[in-house]
Amino acid sequence: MSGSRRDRSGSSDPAAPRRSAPTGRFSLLLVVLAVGLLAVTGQLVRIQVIEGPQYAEAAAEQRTREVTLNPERGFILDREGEVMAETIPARTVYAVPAVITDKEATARAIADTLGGDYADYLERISGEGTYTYVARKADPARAAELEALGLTGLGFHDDSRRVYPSNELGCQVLGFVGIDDQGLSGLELYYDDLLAGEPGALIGERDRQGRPIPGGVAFEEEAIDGKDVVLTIDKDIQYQAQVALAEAVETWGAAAGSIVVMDPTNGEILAMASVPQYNPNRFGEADSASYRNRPIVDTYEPGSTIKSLTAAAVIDAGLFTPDSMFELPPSIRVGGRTIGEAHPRPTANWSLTEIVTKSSNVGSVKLGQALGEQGLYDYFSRFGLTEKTGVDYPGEVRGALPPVETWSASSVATIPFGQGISVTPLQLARALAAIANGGELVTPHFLRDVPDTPELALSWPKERAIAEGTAAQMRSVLADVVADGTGSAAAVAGYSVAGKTGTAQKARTDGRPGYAQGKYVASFSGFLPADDPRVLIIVNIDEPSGSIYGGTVAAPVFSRVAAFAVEHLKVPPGRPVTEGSQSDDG
Amino acid sequence: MTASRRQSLTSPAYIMLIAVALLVAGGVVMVYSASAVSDYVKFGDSAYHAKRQAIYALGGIVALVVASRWDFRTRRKVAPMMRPAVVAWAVWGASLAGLIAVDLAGVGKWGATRSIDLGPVFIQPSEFAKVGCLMVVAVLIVQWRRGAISGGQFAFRVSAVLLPVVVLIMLQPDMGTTMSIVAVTAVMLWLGGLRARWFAAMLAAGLPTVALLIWKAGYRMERITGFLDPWADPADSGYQIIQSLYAFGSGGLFGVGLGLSRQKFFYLPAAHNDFIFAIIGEETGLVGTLCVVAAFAAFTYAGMRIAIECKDPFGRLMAGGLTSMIVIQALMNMAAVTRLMPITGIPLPFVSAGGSSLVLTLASVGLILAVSRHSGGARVKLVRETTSRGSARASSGERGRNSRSHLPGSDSGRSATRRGA
Repeated sequence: MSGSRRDRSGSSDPAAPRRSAPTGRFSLLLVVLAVGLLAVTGQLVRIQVIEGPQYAEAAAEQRTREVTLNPERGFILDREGEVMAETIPARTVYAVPAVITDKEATARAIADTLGGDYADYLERISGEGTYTYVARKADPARAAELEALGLTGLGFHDDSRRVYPSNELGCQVLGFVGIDDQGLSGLELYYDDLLAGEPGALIGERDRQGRPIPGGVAFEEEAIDGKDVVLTIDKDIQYQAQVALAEAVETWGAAAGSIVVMDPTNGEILAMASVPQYNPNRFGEADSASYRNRPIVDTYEPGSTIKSLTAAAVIDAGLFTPDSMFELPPSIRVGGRTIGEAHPRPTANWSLTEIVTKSSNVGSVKLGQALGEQGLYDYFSRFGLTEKTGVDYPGEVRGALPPVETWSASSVATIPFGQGISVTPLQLARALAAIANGGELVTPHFLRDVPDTPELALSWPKERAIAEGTAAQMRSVLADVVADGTGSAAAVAGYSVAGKTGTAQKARTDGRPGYAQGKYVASFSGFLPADDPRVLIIVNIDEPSGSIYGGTVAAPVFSRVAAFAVEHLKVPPGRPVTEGSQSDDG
Repeated sequence: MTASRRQSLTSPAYIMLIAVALLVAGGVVMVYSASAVSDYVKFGDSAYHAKRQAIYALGGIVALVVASRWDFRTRRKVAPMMRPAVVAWAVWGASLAGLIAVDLAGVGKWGATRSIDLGPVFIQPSEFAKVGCLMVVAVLIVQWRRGAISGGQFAFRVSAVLLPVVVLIMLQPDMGTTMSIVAVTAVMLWLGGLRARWFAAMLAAGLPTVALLIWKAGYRMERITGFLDPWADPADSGYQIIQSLYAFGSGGLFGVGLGLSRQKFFYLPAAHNDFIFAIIGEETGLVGTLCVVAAFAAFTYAGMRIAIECKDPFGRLMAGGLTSMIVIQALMNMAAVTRLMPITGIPLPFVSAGGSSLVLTLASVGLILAVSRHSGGARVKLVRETTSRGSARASSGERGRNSRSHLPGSDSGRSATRRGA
């Protein structure tokens, strides 16, 4: 092509002979370069059109981050509106390790401001990842200090943190939450649906450091905050109960202990505590044994405490009255077992009331035999001993009352005084509440109100266990226990107290039948005022040393907590009471 | 420029100017788009690179105009300092001095030291060295073809010119520039008429050297493995190319819209220089990238036509060589970011952010236009000897040369000639 042009201008081209190289190679080079450009064109079509969509999708996936917007977890309040668990602002610090160049300096700065281990932070921000937590739910002031340093590759976002302002107070009842504010234990777990709320989501395009891309696609769904719940717990009574229990456990060198304070009329739990205890703000540092809410998740053989139920059963069945007399030998032989008294005595003529106040094993055997196996089982079932209480708390267990068919020949004799049967303290509280409230089996519960949801109707079913008259008669029997029986240490000045001591042997835990030598549960169960009960308390001290008797170890705790509770709740004293004389415990 | 004004729209010089103007103007816009985010974060000024690019473009245009006025046909007696040999050796010598200065007092970036800090500007002597080597080789080829030097002398001198430059640039290290210098020299020798068997011999000697250089430096090996299978190590050696493909793919046919790139939000490194083509692909789609390719195609065609139409052997070699140099760099850049070859760190001529590169590329375009302008062979001598050929030429020799320079052009070119004559 250049040839023809050359020809056209040939006449005025004297330089032509000086040409030193053929133009063919120029043309060839032009072709080669054009081929290169064509190759690029082909590749562009491939990566932009043919494979384009898949790259576009991968790119979109890479820059689209979904950030969960955490709802604020509802508060847990006591019955008077005092805060038991709250949610406070916190800052979560994250890192984009890929863009952090000076890892050491960054880790050092984090450790200096937030506290914590330098090596741990260095480990977290090493590598080339695009997102890692540095510190979750950090103190906002410290996080602000770190943020002010303006370090590359560190990001901050608002968060919230669960705090239990009274630390150990009510720890097992409240439970605790995990790092994502999910309920893990206790009421935090049971009412997680109410407390948690609905998480929202922020879906948006982010740059490589996690900052939003201006004008990028974004979608926000707001979080719905959790609801506050009001408990039946009274913080002040809880405090007294918890302190009194802890002191008793310490005084008696006991392994553990538990206390339930309940309103027997409706099943509202005013306080519940267990020892050992823990601080839910730092639950990770505690032994998990301290998480146990013993009144609900632990069973024990109730021992003498159960005699009040046996007595109520024979009265309700119309077999006897509190004044019915019994001739009681020093011991009695049933089904190949000889059953005697805790404190040996000669043959005596005692009334039914005396059998209870003096806690006679032999007397209880007689009552049980009078009821018969099926009668005994039926009444204990009516007292709720064969079912869970239905309390609003996770992981409730029920004790063991085997069906009649599996009873041994001696069962009918031992069950009436609390051996060969196990209950949880809360089951016992519920059964005793039936005596206290006129014969109705209530549902123990913690939830009093959900103020944000007025439409939520709370119903706590009741069912009749025994006749109202039976209950009234039993109240006066149990009042005598404190007035002049084994439970005198449970007395509360100005109030008539009804109750029953218990000193139960602990079953062996090594798998063999029988009872562990020297291991007892000392208990006191009772309520006041005896004629119109408003407060019911069950105290269990597990494996006390020094003394083993419920009247000595547990009754004083009852007295102290009950005295505070009736005063705090402004319960009017009932009929005047006379001070009873000291009596032996059984 | 005066020359262009008189030419028709289809004359090679005009085509080249339009292509270059579009590429440079588009480049400034794209540099702004690609660097705005990171500039804002790093410098607090979203136009940090864009402003510099605009200033460099203006500087480059000045360099283009000045270079286009160089009449390389000047004879010793007329303007001894403007002869090709003198200019070529001067550019080469200055760039060599610059390369030595870089090794002594250079400014580093990304593990390589490539620039000298001259107050307000950074200068990359390797960019000058490319043009210098090219011009010296052209001078040597002309001397060899003319018989002024023997084949042996020619080979020795070419080696002596290239070796120090290549060694100094590899010390920086800058594999990409080295490769383009070697490639352009090979192209020059090819255009100069060197026999094919010599290329075979050079290839045989060169390949093991290149292989050794790649094998010796871990990051070069990484670039190869990253090229072969980027998804084997998507966070490291494959990262850049994957992000580049993401950008191209996101653009699709018509692009996400000017300024709306997502990949520039720190996903694609070097978005405003080496990988600007990917951002063009993302924001303007296949339509935009094909426009860029088309502009380079037009540039190639125009450059080669200017070379072919030039009667002066030096001018022809220089025009062909410079055109090849620019297009080869463009090809290497576009091929690398589209995953046709491993990444070498070569910017896209005219478009990528970069001062020395842009100014030198535009100056090179000026040199090509100078060839276009003075393509009539030893015009000076002719004009001086035959002043009777035209009164206009006598009063303004330069304008006369301009008009003569397009004798081989199209019809309109010819009419321009007539008007000039």
